Amino acid sequence: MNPRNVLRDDHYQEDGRGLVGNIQCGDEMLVVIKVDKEKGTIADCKWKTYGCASAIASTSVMSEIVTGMPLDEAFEVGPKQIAAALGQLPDHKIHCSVLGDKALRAAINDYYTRTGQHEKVIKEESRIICKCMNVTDHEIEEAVLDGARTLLELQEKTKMSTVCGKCKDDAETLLKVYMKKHFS
Amino acid sequence: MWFNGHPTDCLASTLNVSFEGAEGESMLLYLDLEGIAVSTGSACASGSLDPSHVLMATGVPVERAHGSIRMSFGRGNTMQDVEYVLDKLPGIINKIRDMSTAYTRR
Repeated sequence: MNPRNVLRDDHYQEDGRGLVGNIQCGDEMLVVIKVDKEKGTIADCKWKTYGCASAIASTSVMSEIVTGMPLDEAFEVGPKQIAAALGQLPDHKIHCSVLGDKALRAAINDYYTRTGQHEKVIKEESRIICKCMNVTDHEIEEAVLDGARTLLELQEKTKMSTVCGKCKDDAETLLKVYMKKHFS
Repeated sequence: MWFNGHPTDCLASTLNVSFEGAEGESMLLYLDLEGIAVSTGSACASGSLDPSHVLMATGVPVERAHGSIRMSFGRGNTMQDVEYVLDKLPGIINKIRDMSTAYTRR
């Protein structure tokens, strides 16, 4: 196990930086990028990860995938692509690969912000689905990546649809959408 | 590095420790590659990614619980095995800390 592109230089001159997750949850990832401003590509991508082997491997392989890639293309790299490059991950480990690309998108947005290209910053807005328990579509997606396959499992993981129950239909629909997106 | 458990009322044959900035499963896998078998929790909880509820109940903070490993001795273990672990462990911890967001070199 020899992860590549680990950030070891304390004085790395990054153009963009993204930090996501937290240690309390068990995973935290830092992604820094250097941008080739003429070509609009990622010239270099380095990272640090606190987390399990899948999290470390995901960030490592992601850094390899996106080096040399145009920024807009790199923004679209997702867990599916990362898992495929790793030769797949077990279902309950897919969520470990989600943070790497999330950190990369944060780093790209940070670069746009630093260089005054505010119109290019793409915000990942989330929508509240369960109003009683304040659960967003992002949290539902995370729960699916974390192994929820039925409404009951979704309820157990997110506590959504456990009070008034009005969002049950939305929950079932999103469950199908995210299952298709990540596991079909 | 922290010792998890009661200082005196504990089993002599098992040891549970946490290392700052190192996550449990990554330690487990690197140790496994060196032929050292440890665990990050009880066998009945191995499918769970949550930190040990037992450690949490004893007041261990969640980030320390994520970074815990348990070493247990069986009748087949010798002092040589202990020396072997002590020889391999520091390098592994350094390697993991080197790529961790949760560790600052001092």
